[in-house]
Amino acid sequence: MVLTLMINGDPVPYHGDPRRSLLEVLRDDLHLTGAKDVCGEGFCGACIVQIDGVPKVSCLLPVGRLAGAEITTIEGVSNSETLTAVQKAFLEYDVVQCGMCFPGMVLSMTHFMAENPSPTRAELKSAMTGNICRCTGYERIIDALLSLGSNGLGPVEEVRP
Amino acid sequence: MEIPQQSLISVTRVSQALDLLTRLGETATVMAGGTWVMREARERTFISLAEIPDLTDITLDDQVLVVGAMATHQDICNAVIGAPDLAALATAAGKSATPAIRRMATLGGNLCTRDFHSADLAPALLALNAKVTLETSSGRETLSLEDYLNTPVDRPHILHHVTVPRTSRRSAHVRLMQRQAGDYPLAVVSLSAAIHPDGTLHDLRIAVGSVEERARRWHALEALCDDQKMTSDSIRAHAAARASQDFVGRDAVDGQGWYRLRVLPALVAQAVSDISLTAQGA
Repeated sequence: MVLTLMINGDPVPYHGDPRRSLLEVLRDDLHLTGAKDVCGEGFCGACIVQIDGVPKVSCLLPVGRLAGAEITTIEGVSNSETLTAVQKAFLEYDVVQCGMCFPGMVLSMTHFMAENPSPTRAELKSAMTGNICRCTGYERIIDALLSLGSNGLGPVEEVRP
Repeated sequence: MEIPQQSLISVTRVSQALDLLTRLGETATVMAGGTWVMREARERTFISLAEIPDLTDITLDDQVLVVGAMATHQDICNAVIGAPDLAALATAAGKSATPAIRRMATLGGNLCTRDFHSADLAPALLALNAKVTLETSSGRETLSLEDYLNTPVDRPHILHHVTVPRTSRRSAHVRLMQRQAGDYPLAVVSLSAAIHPDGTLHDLRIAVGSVEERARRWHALEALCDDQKMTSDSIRAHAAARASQDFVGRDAVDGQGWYRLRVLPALVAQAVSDISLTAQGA
């Protein structure tokens, strides 16, 4: 099958089996290795990318279904000069440990924070289901996200369950 | 219809999918959200239903809920959240798997993937007395979800939509996992009933998922408890007495069969507690 994938704003021609996962194509063909190949079953979230702005697991997405979709990987969320608010908060709170969960975490939580700008701690934990951090750095990640506050104006009130 | 020589075929009509399924047989598989076939069936030809109009439609009114087979778990949760009679479905759709999977996995995939034993939507819809409508080469057929799950339809078919009658009742969906979230449930109980002011449960329906290979109704427990005043403690006792007679627990890597049976009474009790609390406006 021949199709054009739109990856991080650039058209990318693809020739091959349409059943291959987007993750395989990103990593093996295009060498965009930010999305990680970990569980391969959609559980861990290390391979999450955004499809038309919505986080999805790239290990379970066949490329043949993605013609015309806007695919955003961690390599495309910002450029080398700037960081997104979520990336800045993660940097400030020193949340990155081994780095395996980090790209998926950024793409998931950026979407969640856009839809829920003033989340509680419990809501953040629920939203992070499916982004497994094996270094167990969840609390600092949550602290970082809570620091963004409503519309980035300041810290939000923490409500512990 | 000429069969395209490719390994993923997107169809725009159900009739095209049926035609391909008939011609390709076991070498092809229907692809809905893809969350199962991408793991288990990569060698087959994918027949993608994603471009068929109407299959993602959800309609909800006072009488009935109709959900297209390609509606995702997230779509379903968004549509039914807040409806007391459909609370079991809202929980099943809104708590299963992970947020990213819920945006991809569909109703049709959840009900039709027979190798997946931990579906959440199946027990919830059994407890809500759902019917399924299938498209076959001989036309459209509607049957109860219970019959559909109990008796595999061997001939080529596409599950088109599910219909749930709306009634003045309460429902709950209780699932046990090893972790708080993100796992397959070890056992699931979905329950719905009309609750009389004196605490009597009327027209009780209980469904059990994840314990055996397929979700099914717990008719023996329903018969014992229907039209009776039931507390969470009394129904727990009935469930404990019946569980090992009525189910054969499934051994799997996430849990042993005996354990799935052992926890069932507590899940039933929790479900009754949940519907009693919502009936009291809690």
